[in-house]
Order: sequence, then structure tokens, then C-alpha cells
Amino acid sequence: MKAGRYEYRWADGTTMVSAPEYVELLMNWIETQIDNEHIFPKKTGEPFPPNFEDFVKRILRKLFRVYAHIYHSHFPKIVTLNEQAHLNTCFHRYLLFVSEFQLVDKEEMVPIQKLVETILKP
Amino acid sequence: MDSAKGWFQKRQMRGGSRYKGASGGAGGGGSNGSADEHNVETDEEAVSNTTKQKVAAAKQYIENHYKEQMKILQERKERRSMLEQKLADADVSEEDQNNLLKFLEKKETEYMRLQRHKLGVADFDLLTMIGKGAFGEVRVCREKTTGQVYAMKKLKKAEMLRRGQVEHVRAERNLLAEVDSNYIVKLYCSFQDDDHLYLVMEYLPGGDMMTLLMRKDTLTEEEAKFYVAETVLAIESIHRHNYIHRDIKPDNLLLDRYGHLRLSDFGLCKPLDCSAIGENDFSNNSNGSTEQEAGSTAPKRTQQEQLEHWQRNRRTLAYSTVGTPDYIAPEVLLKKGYGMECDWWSLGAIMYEMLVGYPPFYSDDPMSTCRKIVNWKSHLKFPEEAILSREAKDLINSLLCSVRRRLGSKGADELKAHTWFETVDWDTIFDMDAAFVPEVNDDLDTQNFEKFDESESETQTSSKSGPWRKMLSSKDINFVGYTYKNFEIVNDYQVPGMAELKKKKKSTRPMVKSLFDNGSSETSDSSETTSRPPCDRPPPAPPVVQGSFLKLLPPELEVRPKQEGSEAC
Repeated sequence: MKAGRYEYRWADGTTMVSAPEYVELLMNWIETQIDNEHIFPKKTGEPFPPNFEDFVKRILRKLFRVYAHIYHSHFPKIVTLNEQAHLNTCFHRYLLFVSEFQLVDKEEMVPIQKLVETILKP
Repeated sequence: MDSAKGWFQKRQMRGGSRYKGASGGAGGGGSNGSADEHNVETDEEAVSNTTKQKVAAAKQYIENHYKEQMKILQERKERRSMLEQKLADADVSEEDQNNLLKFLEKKETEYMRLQRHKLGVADFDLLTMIGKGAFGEVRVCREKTTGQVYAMKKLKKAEMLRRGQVEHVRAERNLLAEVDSNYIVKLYCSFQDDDHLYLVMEYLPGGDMMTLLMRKDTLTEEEAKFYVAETVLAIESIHRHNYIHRDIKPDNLLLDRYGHLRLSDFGLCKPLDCSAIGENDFSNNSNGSTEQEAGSTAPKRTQQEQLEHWQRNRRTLAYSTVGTPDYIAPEVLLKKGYGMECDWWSLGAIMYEMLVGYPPFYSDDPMSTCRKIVNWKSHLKFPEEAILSREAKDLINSLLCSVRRRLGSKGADELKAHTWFETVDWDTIFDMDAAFVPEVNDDLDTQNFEKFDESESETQTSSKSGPWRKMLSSKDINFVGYTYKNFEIVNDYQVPGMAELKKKKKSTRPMVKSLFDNGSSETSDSSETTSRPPCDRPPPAPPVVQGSFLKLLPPELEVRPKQEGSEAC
């Protein structure tokens, strides 16, 4: 899956897959993470794991790639479908959240750096 | 809801105007103008219907998601504000205030965890069927984790789509999720799988008005007054939320275990078979054909004969998947547009049946009934044998009449002021003893409902319900935003005697006390044996341990539910 000059591969570099395949694999993986009660406990009183933050960071870092791909490769079509307000709202919220808690490194956001800086500018 | 809507609209505008340029630059950098134009045109031509459907579904999903989030945030703020206000009024020390606020935060966190639990049909044991229709069925069910008993309404998506009932189902789910009222059956959660929508509602073991009338034939005016008055309050409640029921009938008037009435839609939207009726039937009123019809009808039955005929026929109707038009307003049948007044017409028809023994336009077949309703001026009559007071007749005639003259068109207060209701105390009617208190032996008792043949029900197809994300397919565009959870009410009922307390005291959400009661229920849960028989009452909660949060409560906030020894197990 590409975002401009950048290419993302599944399994952190070992498997080259198309964008639809990558998104499908990613969404399935995220769902298993969220449904894993050892990571996201459901029962009252059960504590979060000590490395909970690492799990969250990994999920959000990979999610960024989907946004990067959509903005780089499909934004004109998004506009044609009149969906840009929805996309922008979701990304805006995602970005504010990961910035507030420093969950994604800035290096990871380079593919759409200008957009990111525009949103985060005070 | 309005604040959430405004917020989203603001975001939409900002999102559209502010980021479109920047994002466009990021996306299309380096291309020249003519290439861009060509690209856009190609994209427009290439957009398939499937893509359009998916886009619409995604938009709706996103909008619902943010609306729901804003609502949750708003409610949480309100709960905190209410607690802070109570603490300030109660003159609690600063240390105690901080402790209580921390406790509230802890409860809110636990609540958020519950919200993440994805409920499905596998979380419930399905028990006796208590209702059946073309769109599905209603069953008593028990939640496996808590043992709590509910009524689960299961609707076939395919039938919803085929009969154009999607908006009605959505409206019902939205109303039940929004309204917290003594007069409306409570919704605990809703979810879906590939083939069905599910509504999990409170189970009201007292049965319904249809079953009551099947047993009693007729009611006295005092008895009828009780039920008609409670129905007025229920209809007023949904009208206040801009909901028009359209299909109020005895099957949809449920009775709780104390005999008080709640409005529901358990009728499962049984479709009418009167689509052929049109204005032609209405115009009959102005020429001589009506008289000919009257002359040619079969000799009139006595009131008793008509009542017996209706009772036999209604039993058949209860088991069929075809609805009865007997209570539907003429403007609804004619499909000429209708307003909230159509629900008051239904009330008039039900009142007539309570006092006379059968609906006012009852006929041997639904089509004839529809024609009579549309020509109500010629067909609304009281049998000679019926002994009704002048006030009762006047009220019925004020409800079964033209829209313009119909009582209630200017609001429920107009209706409440009628002389027939002179002895009704509208503020305390739900605290009174009901006209009839149903016999209910245990939590799972269904004796107050009709028996349904279990073999008729479809086999339990193990329709897959995951992964949840895949529920958002193009065919499910109509059912986006259906899932709903309301754990606050669920937890309330875990406290022994809370249902009794709620019956006596009308309370509106958010309820700060319910958050503290969750703590009590947890203690109570831990002391229960897992093999507790359904008939056993839960053991009394152990005494409050030293230093528990209850000690921190100011005296005014402490309301212990009363344990009534006379309550049946």
C-alpha cells in the first residue's frame, strides 16, 4: 500500500500487499486486539496490562497509514462522492487525540506532513 | 441532541472549507488543471451504485457515531453537575465532596467499559414466545450473565425492507432509546445480525389489554377510565417526542406486574391487507349507495352475539400474521397524510371496545371494516343494549370524528379536561391500585399472554454475527445506527426492591443515585449463588462495610428501597 513515495508492507516489511488487502488485514487485526480482554478488559475491576500504551500506539500508528493512503491516492474521488467532510472530521479527531497523548511519532506522519501541520497549527 | 447536531454541522462546514484545499494539494500535487478535470470526470462516470451505497452507509455511520458520542458526553456532564449541585446544597465538607466526585468518576469509567461489550443473541437464553407477526416474534428471554428477564423482539430485515417498514422500526428504536417514561415500555438494548434486528425490552408479565378484554368481555366505566387515562398519558408522552404511533391497539397496551399500563409496539407491525381501499369508498358517503349497502347487510346481531363473534375472531387474529384495521384512523387508511390526532382516534376505538365489547367498526372481514371506518359518519353507532353514560358516549364521539373536531388535536390537556375524566387525578394515577392486578407467580410467568405454538417458529438459524465491522454492508445501509445499550436501567433492576421503588417514585435520568446503587448491586451479586432458582428472591444485601461510600452520603441522598414482605416471590 502506497502513500505518495512511501510504501507500507504487511507484517512490518515482509509481505507486499495491495491497499485493499492491507486495509482488510489491518482492520481484522485491530478487531482482534480490541476484542482481546487481556488488552482491553471488559469486566469491572480488571486492570489494563502494564504495556497497554504500547498496544494502543501500535494500533494508532497503523491506522495513520490508512489515512495517508486515502489522502494521497483517493482524495479527488472522496470529493466527488461528497464525503470529504466526514473524512476530515474523522482524521481531525484522530490527529488531535494522538497528538494530545503523543501516541504516534512525527516521523510516521511525514507522508501527509503539510496537512498534519495545518491541522495542528494553533 | 440539538447541541450535538449543531456541533456536527459546524464541523462539517469547517472541514469542508478549510481542509479541502490543503488536502487537495496533498493529494493532487504536481498535476496540471486539465488533467485534474479529466480525472474528476472519469471518476464520476466510474462510480458504481455499490460504491454510492457504501458511501451513504459510511456517512450515516460516521454521523451517528459522533452524535452518540456527543450525547454521552453531555449526559456525563449533566450527571456530574447534578452531583455537584446536590453536594453544594447539602453542605458537605470539601474532603467528602472530593471523595464522592472521585467515586462518580470511577462509576463513569465502569460504565464506559460496559458500553464496549457487544451484545448479541448469544448473550440471552430464549424462552417462551409471547407474540408473533409477519416481521418476527417476541420472546421472554434471560440474560445469561445477570439472570435478568427481558422481552426480546426479533425482526426480519428482509421483511422490513420488503414492506417499507425501515423508517418505522428506526423511529420506534429511536423513541424507546430517547424516552424514559413510566408510560412507555423500556428499551435496554438493540443489536443486529445478518438477518435480524433485535430489541431487548423490559418484560411486563401482566399481559396486555387484548388479553384482559378477552377475559373480561367488557369493563365498567370506572375500570375503563383507569386504562383510558393511563393510555392518554402514554400517548401524550410519545407525542411530546414528536412520535406518531399510528397503530395503537389493545395488543400494544402492555400491563406491568401491578396492572399499570405501558405503550409498546409488540404488535410487530402486522401489515394490513387494505391497500385496495381508496377515495371511491369515501365518496360513497355522499350518494345513495350507502343506503343500499345498509339495506343489503345481514340482519344485525345483538350486542352479545357480536361480542362473542369478535372474541372468536380476535383469537384467530392474534395468531395470524395479518393485522386488524379496527383501531386505525380513517386518514391513515386513506394514506392522505396524518398527524398526531390519529392516535386519539385509536384511543376512542379502544374505549368503545372496553365498554361495548367489540370495536366500533367490527365486520366479518378487514376490508369491510376499513370501509366502515372511512365512512364512520354512517357506521358509528352504540348498540341499544349498551348502557353508557352520556359523558362516555360524548367522549367516544369526540374521538371518533373528523380530524378537525377531534379532541386532543390541540394537545392532551384538551382531552384530560373532558367531564368523563373528572374523577381522575392525573398526577397520581400510576401510584393508585390498578383496576385489575394481574396474577403473576414468578419472573418467568407468561400466563397473562396467549400461548403460541412453538413448532411454528422458524428454526434457530445460527446467523453469524461477526465480525461486527462487516455488518456495514450495502444491504444494511438501512439499519445503520441500530445498536443501542442502556446499562443504567439494567443495573437499577439488580438492586432488590428497586423496581418497587421505581414504581412508586417517578424519576428521570440521569439519576445520580443509580450510580451509587451499582456499588450495592455488585456487593449483592457476589453473595448470590450461581445456581439460584428463578423463584428465589435474591438474598438481602450484606450490611454496609465500615468506610464504604454510603457513609459519605449526606442524609438527604440516602434512600433505601423498601423491602415489602407481601411481595410475591
